[in-house]
Amino acid sequence: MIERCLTHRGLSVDRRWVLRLSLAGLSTCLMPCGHAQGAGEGVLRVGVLAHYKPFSFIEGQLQGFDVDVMKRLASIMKLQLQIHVDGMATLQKKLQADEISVIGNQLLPTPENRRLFDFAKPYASNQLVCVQHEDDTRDFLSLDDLYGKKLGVLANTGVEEQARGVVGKTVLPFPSIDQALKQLAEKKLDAVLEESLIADFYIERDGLPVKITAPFAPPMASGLAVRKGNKEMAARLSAAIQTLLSDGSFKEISTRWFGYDVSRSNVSHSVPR
Amino acid sequence: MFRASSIRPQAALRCFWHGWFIFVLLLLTGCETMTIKPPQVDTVRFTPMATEKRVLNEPKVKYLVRADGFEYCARITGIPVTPTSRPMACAFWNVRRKECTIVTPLTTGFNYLGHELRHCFEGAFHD
Repeated sequence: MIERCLTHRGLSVDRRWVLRLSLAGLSTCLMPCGHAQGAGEGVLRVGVLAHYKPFSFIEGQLQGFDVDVMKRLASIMKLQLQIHVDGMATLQKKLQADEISVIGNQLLPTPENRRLFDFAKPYASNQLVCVQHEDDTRDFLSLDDLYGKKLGVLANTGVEEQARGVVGKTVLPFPSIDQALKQLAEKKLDAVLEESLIADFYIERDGLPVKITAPFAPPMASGLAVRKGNKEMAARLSAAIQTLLSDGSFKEISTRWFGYDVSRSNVSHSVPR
Repeated sequence: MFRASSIRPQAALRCFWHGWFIFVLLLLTGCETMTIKPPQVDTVRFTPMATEKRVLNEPKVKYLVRADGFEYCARITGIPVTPTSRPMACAFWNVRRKECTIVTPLTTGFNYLGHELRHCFEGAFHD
């Protein structure tokens, strides 16, 4: 459901955080949970994951980039926001049962997910990138370039598997990516592969002397998922997202979490026509 | 009879190879034409974005020429390399650091380099 294949020279990446988080048993309702359906009674019921940093996570209170976006969207839609925190499997069941109207984390519109959900307009661009120390001027554009280099990756992921296939024993798996980034900051690693929004979040939050260098995969157009067939909600959310992007409020939210506006991709190309 | 039957397959084979040669020649000519022809977006004049609206105002630009330029650009943009189309160049930028990198294959054109340079200032202007 939430597998993501980034098809480029055999480098495939799964959305491992979502898979891991789907195991989360935490089920919390931050506001009184009634049984009203969707947004029909002036309430926007949104489901988010509990440990999906920086998108939605609990540190003292529920917070995150997607949480802030949902708050603003509810405000634009003039609805009261009600957030359900749960694992992905439960959120999906709640969506099907109309207990929530939106899964408020960025799901990928893969063919498999499109069979399960309809999607609102995406609002953030994310892609697999190479992260290096800010003093490092080497150009790593492919896994071949990283052969023999100490490469930090998140353990038990598609990235680790693919990197091991090319780079070999010098791939070092970490249980959490912030640990890898800290070792990179101490120059104990040559590079780290991670998704741009996650890397940007830690760089911004921790002020690490590391930098995002080259992309390793295409941008991912992930977005808010609604129940399959709920075109009205998808359209309402898309309209609200359009307002969010155009009225300057997204830029403010994005800058707070990532240091800049992440609504647009940071890559482009020339193709003969 | 014997000679005629042995010659006919040879002639047919020769004819096939001639045809194949012409086909490949036409195909290569077509590719070359396609490679040289600038993209539509590069053949028109444009008004540069106002300085204050640029994604990067004074970017530090790096230019990488790579043997795997087509493949790299395909990989980061999702535009596949096919017999009729391939990404001729690409650029990526780091807004926070005000850095931009342009990647081309070993042989490129002014239009491709110019196109990517515009991205370094204006971001994703044609998406």
